[in-house]
Amino acid sequence: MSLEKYRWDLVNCERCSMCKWQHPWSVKSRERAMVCPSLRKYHFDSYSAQGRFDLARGLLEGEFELTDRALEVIYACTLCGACDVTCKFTRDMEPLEILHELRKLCVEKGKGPLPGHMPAVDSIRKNHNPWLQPAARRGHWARKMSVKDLNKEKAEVLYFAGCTYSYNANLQQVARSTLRILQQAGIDVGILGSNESCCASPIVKVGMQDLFQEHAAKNIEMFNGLGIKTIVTSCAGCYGVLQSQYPAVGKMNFEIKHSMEYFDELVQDGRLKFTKDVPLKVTWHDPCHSGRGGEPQDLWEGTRVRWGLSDPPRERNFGSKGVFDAPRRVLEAIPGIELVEMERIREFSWCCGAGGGVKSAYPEFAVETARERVREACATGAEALVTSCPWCEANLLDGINAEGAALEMLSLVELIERAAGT
Amino acid sequence: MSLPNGAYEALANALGAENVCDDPAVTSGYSYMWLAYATHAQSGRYRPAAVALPGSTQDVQTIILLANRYGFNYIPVGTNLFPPNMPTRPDTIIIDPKRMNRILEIDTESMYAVVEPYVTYAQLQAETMQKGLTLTVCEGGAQCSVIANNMFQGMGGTGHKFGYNRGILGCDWVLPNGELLKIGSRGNARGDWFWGDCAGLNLKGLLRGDSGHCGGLGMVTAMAVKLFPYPGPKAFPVKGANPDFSAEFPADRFKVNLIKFPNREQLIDAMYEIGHAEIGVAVHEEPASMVLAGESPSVEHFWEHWPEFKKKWVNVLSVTLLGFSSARQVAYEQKVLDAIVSDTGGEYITEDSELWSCAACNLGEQFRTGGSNRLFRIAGDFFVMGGFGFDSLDQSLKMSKEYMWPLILDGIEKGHLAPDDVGNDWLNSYQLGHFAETEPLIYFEHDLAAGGAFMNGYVGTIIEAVKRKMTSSWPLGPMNYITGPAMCNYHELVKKIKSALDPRLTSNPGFPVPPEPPQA
Amino acid sequence: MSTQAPAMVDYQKPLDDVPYAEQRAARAAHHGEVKKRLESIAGPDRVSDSPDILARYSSDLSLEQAGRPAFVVRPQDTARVCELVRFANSLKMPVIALSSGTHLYGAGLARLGGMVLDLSEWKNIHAVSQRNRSVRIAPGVTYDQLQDALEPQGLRALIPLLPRRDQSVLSAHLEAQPMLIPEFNYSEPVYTAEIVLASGEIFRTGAAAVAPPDQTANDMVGPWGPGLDWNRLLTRSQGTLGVITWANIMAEPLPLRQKIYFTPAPAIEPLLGFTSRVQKKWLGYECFILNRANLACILARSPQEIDALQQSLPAFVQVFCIGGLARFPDERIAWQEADFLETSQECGLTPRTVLAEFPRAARFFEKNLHRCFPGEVYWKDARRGASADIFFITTMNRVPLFIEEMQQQAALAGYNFQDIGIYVQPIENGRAAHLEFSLPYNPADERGCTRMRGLHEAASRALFAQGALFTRAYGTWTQLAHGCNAAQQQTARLIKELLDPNNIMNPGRLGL
Repeated sequence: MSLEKYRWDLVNCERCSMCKWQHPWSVKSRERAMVCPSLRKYHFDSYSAQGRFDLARGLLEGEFELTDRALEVIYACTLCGACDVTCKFTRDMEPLEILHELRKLCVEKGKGPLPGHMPAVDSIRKNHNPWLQPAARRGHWARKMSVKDLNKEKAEVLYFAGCTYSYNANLQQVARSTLRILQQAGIDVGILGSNESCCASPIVKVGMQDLFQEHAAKNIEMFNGLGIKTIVTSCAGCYGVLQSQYPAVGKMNFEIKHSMEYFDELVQDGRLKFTKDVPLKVTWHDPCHSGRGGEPQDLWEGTRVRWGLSDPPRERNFGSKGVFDAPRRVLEAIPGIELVEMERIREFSWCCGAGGGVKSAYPEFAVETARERVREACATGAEALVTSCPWCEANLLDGINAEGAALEMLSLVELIERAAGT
Repeated sequence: MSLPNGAYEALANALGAENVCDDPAVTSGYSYMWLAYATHAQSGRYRPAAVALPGSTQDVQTIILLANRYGFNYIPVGTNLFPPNMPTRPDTIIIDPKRMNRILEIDTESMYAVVEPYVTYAQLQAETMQKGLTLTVCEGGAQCSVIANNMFQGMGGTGHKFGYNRGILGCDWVLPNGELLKIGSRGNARGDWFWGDCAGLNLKGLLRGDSGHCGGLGMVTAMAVKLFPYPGPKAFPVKGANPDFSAEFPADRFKVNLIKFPNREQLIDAMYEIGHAEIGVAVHEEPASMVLAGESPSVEHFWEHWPEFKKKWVNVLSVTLLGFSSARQVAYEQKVLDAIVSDTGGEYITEDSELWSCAACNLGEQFRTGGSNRLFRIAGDFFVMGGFGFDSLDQSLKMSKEYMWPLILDGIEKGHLAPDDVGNDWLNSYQLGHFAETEPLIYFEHDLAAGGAFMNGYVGTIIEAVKRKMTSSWPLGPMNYITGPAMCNYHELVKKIKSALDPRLTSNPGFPVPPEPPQA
Repeated sequence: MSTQAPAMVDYQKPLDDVPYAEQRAARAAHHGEVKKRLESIAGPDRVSDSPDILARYSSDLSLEQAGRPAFVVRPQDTARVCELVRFANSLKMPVIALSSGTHLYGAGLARLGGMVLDLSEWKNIHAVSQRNRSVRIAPGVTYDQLQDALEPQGLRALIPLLPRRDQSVLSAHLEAQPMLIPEFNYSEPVYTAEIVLASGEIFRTGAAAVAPPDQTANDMVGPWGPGLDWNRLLTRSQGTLGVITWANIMAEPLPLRQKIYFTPAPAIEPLLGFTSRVQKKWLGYECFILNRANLACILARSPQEIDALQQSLPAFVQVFCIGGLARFPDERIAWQEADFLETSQECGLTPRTVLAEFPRAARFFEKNLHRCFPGEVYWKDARRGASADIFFITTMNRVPLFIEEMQQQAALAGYNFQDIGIYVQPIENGRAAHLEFSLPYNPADERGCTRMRGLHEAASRALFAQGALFTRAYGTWTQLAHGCNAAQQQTARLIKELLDPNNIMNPGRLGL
C-alpha cells in the first residue's frame, strides 16, 4: 500500500489543527478564517486533513474497512491543497499527497472512483475529454481562426486549450481570445486541434493512477515530439497537473506557463499594451491549481529517519510560489481597473468548490463552496469576480446565480481584450 | 465502541441524523491525540462510539440528558488538541462544537467578547483588533478554542500584562445533570455577560484551576472573555508568504527587546526588576530550540543550524513593550529597561545581528501565536518535562535547575530525547512578575519508548517536586493521586465534587480526577 | 402478617417527657460541658459566654436581624482552631469566624447561634517578601498596621476607600472589596491561603498546598489550584466553607512620589467617559469618582461642617493619582500626566492638582490615600451616625441609569437624595465598576431605622431589576440573586454539603 510511504506523517500528526485554518496571522475575520471547504460543509474533523490522516492511519493499520462513509470522507474534498499549505507551515508533512494516496487506495480496493465520476472517466478513455464530446470536435473552437496546426507545422509555443475551454460553448471565447492576444503580440504559437488530449487531471484527481500514467505518458511523448519551447494553457487545472504531476511520469523538454504568466511577460516587455479604459472594480480569485498548486513539486523518494529528517533531504512545496503576482500585475496595468482583494487570497485562497471530482460527485457541496467564495467577493464591494480557470469560472458562476449576487464573472483574458481594444 | 441500545437513534432524532455519526471513518478523526500514544499503542481502540455536533446550548443539554438516560459517556471538546479529550471507555461520544462557532457579542465599552466553543483565538482577535481590543492568545496556537483554553488555563504570550488564567467572565455551563448553570453576571436579572462573579459561592472556581476540569464537569456552551486595550493596526500586520511571515507593528507603540545574560540567575533578577518597575507586556526567557524552531521551515533546516545556534542563543530574555497610551510610554519603558539591563548585567542583541534575525517573528508571536506548533517539527513531538508549576520567578528557576533538567539530561543520554542540552526554558512572567511558570521544552520521537520516557520524566518531576515540598507540574487525571496526598488531599475534595455534580461519572469520566487510583 | 385490625390508638396520649427542671439542669450542664471543653482547647480566659460580651457580638452596624452566639472564643493559634472546629462539628454547633473589629453587613451575626471565633487579635504579619511583592498576614491585621510594615520595604498594601481603622485586611480581600487602584494585575490579590475546613482539617490553596509555611520550599505566590480554583471559591464565601487563618497577598511597589488630580464636573456622565478612557490607556494608580455628599463627609473636620461644605463642592469629582516608582519616578509621572491631561482635553474636562472649592482636599488625599480614615468618627457615620450602603457591580456606562433609579427610590421614600453618597470605583481598568450608594441614617431613631430598612430593600430590588450585580450576598441581596439563578443555588448547596456536611460554618449565610 503506497500509504506506507507516509506512515511517518500519519503517526506524527498531533492534530494541532493548523490544517483547518489560514495561518493565524493571516486571519482577518471570524467568518473567513477557515481554509478547508470540506470541513466547513461537513463539520466532522474527519473531513479535514487531520481527520483524513486518522482515517488513512486506521486503514493502513487495518483497524477498519472502507465504508461508504469513508468514501465520502475521502472524495468530498476538492483537493484544493489549502491544508497542505497551512500544515507545512508547522510540520514536514504532505497532506495533499496523502489525500491523493487515499483515492488511489479506493481505486485499488475497487471502491473508487465514485459513480458520479464515471461518465467523465469513461469519456476521457473514449473521447480524450471528460465532457462526453467527440474527440474530432475538439479543435472546433478555433476553426474560424488562422493558427498554426502543430500536427503539421512547428512553433515555439503550444497553446493547450484544455478540454473545458475547447468544448464549453460559454467558455470557448477564453481560448479564442487568448490565442488572438498571443498572435497579436507576435508569438509563434500553434495548437493541436483535435489531436489535443485531456491532460488527465480529472483521472488523477479521482485516484486512477494507472490510467493517468498511461495518458500522461502519451501526452508527454507527443509534446516532446513537437519541438516546442513552451506550453501555454489558460486552464489552471491543466497547468497544475502539468507542473506537479507530469514530471513524475516522464521528462519534458519544454516549459509550462499559464497564460496569466505569459500575458504578464507581454505586458512587462511592452508587447501587450492597454489602450482602453475599463472602469471596473474587480476582485481576483486565485485558482487552486495555478496558485498554491502551481508551485513545482519535489519528486522525492526516500525515508524519514531520526527526528523525522528526510533522507535524502526533501525540498518542501509551501504553495506560495505559484502564479499569484502575474494576474495581479496584469489587472493593475489595465487602466480604470480597481483591484480589491478578498480576505483569503494567494496560498490561502478559498477554493471555488469544483475541484477533485467534487463537481461531478457532490454538486451541492461544490455550489455551496462557490457561494461562500461569492459572498467573500461581494464583501469587497467588487463589481466583478475575475479568474483564469474554466472550472472556477463555471462553478463560481453557479455560485453567483445561486446566491443571486450582483457580481459579474469574468475571465482575465476578457478584461485584457477589452483594455487592449482587440 | 458501541452505545447502549436506543442511544444512537435518540441522538440522531434529537440533533438530526446528519449531526451524529458512528462510522469509523468519522470517529477515527477523534481517536488520536497529542501525547496520548505515550501511554498506549497507536490504536483505533480509542475511537469514540460516536461524534455529535450540537448546534446550541439546548442541543448540548439534550445530549447530556440522553447520556444520563441511556448511560453512555461523553467528552466535550473545543478545537480538540489536548490528551484529556481522548476517549478511553468504549461507550463514549465526543461532543464536537463545530456548529457552535459564533461570536455572540463584542462589548468595546466593558471590554469583553462572548464566544461559543468553536471560536478560535485567531478568529476572535481578528474581530477585536478591528475594535481596538485584544486578548492573550494561548501558546498552543491561535487556532485553538478560546473557551477550551480559558477553561484549561488561559496561558499566553502577553500574560505579563494581561494575566494568566483570569480571562473568564459570564458563562453558560451545562452541568452533568443537564441543568444550565449561569456563571457570574449571567445570573443577574438581565443575564449580562460582563462579570465572572456573582452572589453566593463563586462556582467559577470549579471551572478553572491549575488545569480546569478537562470536560469532567459538563460543557460550557458560551463564555464571555476579557479583552484588553490594543493600540495597533486593525488587521494583524502580516507580511511575507508561507513559510516565512513577519509582522510589522508600528514601531512607536510596539517594541521587542532581546537581551542576553551571562547566566539565568541574572536573567531572573532582570525579570524581577521589570515586574517591580511595572513595564512591559510580554516578558519571557526564550530557549534556543524554540527560537530556532520558530524560524525553521523544515526539520532539516533546524538540525542543520542547531549545533551553532545553540551556542549563541543562551540565556536570552525577550521583553515586549507596548504603548497603550502613547509613544511616550514606550520611550519611558525603554529607558527603564535600559537601566535594568545595565544593572543586571544583560546585553542587548542588536537589530543588525544574526541572532536578531532569527527571532524576527518574536513580536508578532507575542500577540497572536502562529508558530508555536513548529515545536513539533524538531523531532516529531514535544512537550515540557514538567513545568507549569506556578509560583515565583525564583521558584521557577529553582525547579528547572534542581530536578527538571537533570531528568531531561538523563533522557538525552538514554537517547529518548532530542539533544537540546542548553538548559534554558520557556520561562514566563505573569501579571507583572507577581508569579511565574517555567516550561523546559523537550523533543522526542513519536514512539512508545520515547513517549514512555517522557511520561515517566513528567511524572518524575511531580514526584521530585512533592518530595522537595515545591509546587509540582500540572498533574492531569490519574497523576492527581500522586500530588493529592501531599497537597492537603485536594484530590479527595475534587473527587467528591465530581461525584456530587456527575454521580454517574458520564462527563469525561477520568477527569478532573478518576474515581480510582491508576492501576500498577 | 396479622389480619386483625389494630386496637384503638390513642392519638392524644402525651409523649413521656423529662420534667422541666431536669431539662433546665441538663441544658445548663450541656452548656457547661461545652464551655469546659472549649476552655480546655482554647484556655479558660479565651472563652466567654457572659451576656454583655455576647451582646456585643449579637448585632453590628447593619440593619440585619440580630443573632446571639452561645460562646465567643478567642483561640490563640491554628491548631486550636482546628480542634475547636472539630469539636463544633461533632456537636453540629455553628462556627462564625470574625476578623474585623467593626462589622457592617450582618455576615458575622450568629443567626443560628453557636460559637463565634474572634480572630481579630491575630495581628501577626508573618512574612514580607519585597522580591515577590507578597505579605503573609493573619486575619486580624489592619490596614495602618500593614502599611507601617510594608512602607519601609518599598511596598504598599492594596486598600479600599479610607477604611475603618479596625478593618481586617484579609476580610477586605476575601470579601473582594474594591480597591482604589483599578490596575488589572492587582485585582485578584490573594496568592494563597490557609483554611480550616469544617472537618477540622487544614487546607491550603495554590502553591501553599504542598507544605505549611514553615516547611515549604515555595514562595507561596502561585494562586492556582490545587486541582480547582479554591481561592475563587473561597472569595466572598463569608466563612461558609471554613475559617481562613492566614493569606499571602499582593503588596505593590510604593511610589516614591505621587501626584493627585481632581477633576470636577457638574454631572457624572462626562467623568465616567473620561475615566473609562483613562483606564483603557492604563494610566495612573488610584482612580475613583465621588459625589459631593461623600466628599463632604470625608473632608469635613466635624459633622457640623458637612452640610455647608457639601454646598460648596462640585457635584462630582474624579480623584486620580499618578505614582512615580523607583526608576525615573519623575519621568514616569511626567509621561502619564501628559497623556492624562491630553485625554482630559479631548473630554472637555479640566483636572487640577488643587480642588479649588476646597484646597485642603489635596493635602488630605496626599496623606490618606494609602491609609485608614483618620477621623474619630468614621466618614460614613459622620452625617447621621450610621450609613446603610447599597453597592454592586455594573458597567461604567450604566452607572447613570442606576443613579437615576436610586433617586427615584429616594423620592418614593421621602428621603433626601442629596444626602446619599455616591462612589464609583472602576475595576480592572474600567471593565466594570463598583457603584456604592451610602444612605446616612440615625441608628438611634427606631422609626428612622424602619424607614431606612424599607428604602434599602425597595431600592435594592429596583436596582437589581435594572441589572445590578450584587456579588456580595448580604441580607436581601442573597435572596434577590438566588431568585433568578436556581441552578447556582442548587449547585452551591451540593458543594457546601460535601465540604461541610453538618452545615456548621456560618450557616444560613449565602442562603446555604
